[in-house]
Amino acid sequence: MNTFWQGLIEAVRLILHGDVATFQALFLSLKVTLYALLVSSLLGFPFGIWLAFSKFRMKRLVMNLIFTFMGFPPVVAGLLVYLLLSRSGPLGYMQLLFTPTAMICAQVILALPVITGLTYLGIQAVNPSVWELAYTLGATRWQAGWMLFRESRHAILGALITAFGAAISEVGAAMLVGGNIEGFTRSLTTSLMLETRQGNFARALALGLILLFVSFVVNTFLVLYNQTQGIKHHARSLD
Amino acid sequence: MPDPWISIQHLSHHYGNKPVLQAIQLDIYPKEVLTILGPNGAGKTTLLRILSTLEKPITGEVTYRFPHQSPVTLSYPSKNQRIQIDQLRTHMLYLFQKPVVFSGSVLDNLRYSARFRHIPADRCKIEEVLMQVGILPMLYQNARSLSGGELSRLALARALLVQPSVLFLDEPSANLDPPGMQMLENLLQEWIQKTTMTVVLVTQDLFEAKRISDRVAFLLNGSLIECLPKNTFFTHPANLLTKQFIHGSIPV
Repeated sequence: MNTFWQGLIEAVRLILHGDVATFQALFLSLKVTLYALLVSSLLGFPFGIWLAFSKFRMKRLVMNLIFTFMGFPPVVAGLLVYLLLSRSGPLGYMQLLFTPTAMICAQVILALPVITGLTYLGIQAVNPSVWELAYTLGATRWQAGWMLFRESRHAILGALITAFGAAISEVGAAMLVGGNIEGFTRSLTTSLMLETRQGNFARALALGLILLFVSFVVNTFLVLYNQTQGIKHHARSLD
Repeated sequence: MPDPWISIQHLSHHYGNKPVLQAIQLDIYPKEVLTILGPNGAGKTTLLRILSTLEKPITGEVTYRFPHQSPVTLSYPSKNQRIQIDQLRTHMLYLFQKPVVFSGSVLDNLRYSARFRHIPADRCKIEEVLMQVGILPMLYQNARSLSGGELSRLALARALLVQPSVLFLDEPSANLDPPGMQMLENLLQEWIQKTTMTVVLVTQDLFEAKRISDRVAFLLNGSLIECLPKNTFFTHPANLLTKQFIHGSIPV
């Protein structure tokens, strides 16, 4: 129990004293996660919408693969990116291995199926007549698709929260392709692992608490945003 | 008789092996209320959905001659007629049997409708159409919280706002109470007198058909039995099946 108290005190101390290494790790974690989410969203939302609408042979197989990849083992994703980016790999000339960019690539592999799959499921759950309503009113196909996307915004938020949680807490891939280089590719999770290995349990626990807190804050914003969207909607109607 | 706005030629459709529509031939004229009457499963809704391009039939041809537009013929089985269909869509509006709304207020719903049609949607116009259908107090209300009857009225308000050339109504009586039905009938009458709109209405209710329509088409098991002016249809139908349907003994 003692270790827990020490960890808590250490966490407060690290934050209040503005510990450089901790903040670097924190910002790297946030940066990598947010970039990965951005890329995955830009690709995953349109892809999910498209999948929800299109009919093609093998669609069942494609969906099955996407759902499987939603539980992609992070270490395997890391390994794939490692092989791609390593000096002898096909993209080795870009010299991206052991950089934050490599970490973002690995996170995209993990987050993209989550966002695609959950968007697909979210749109499936919406009344398809909404599309037809927009269509018969004269909307273009993209406008009609947007109306469906809009109807499924709660599911979309769920997709973002899930992908964020997966990306920020991920350690295996970050370690493999990032290399845990201090001040460069050391994230909260990889430094937590290092501290644990070195027996600095209080410090490790402190990092864990900071990680949880960051997650809590970001999710609070996401949920708040969802709610204010509803309120704004209402307010706009009351203009 | 003026040129028909919509001419249907040899239209057939089936779901799997089950035929839904068989060689339909029908002309729809401007400024008329045409009722498509028939028992459940006759293919009424499918016909309406095909005419409003929500669905594609297996074979057949539909020609649309709307004012201020050169005639467009959609022939099926079709390859790519997307451009032609997009030209047509803004002349027509389909009102679903189960009213559908976008999430948001009643006002938002009407604004979206106007945006998709590229028509200006000023506040006065929106309030006016809501007044006409009697749901003006619900202007700011969440559309999802409306009752079935209010949803039907919102759908009608949408139609009043976008002023289609042809309005397709799928069983409008399903959600409306008698006063609501009265309002719908009055609106349609007034509308048709003022504009050149055509209404194609699907129903299984004989009385509704009797009250509203100019012409009645009787659809049974996917075949168009006959299409006659209302009075002739109810007093001297040519076909025995029509007679049986009118007198309550539906042939199976």
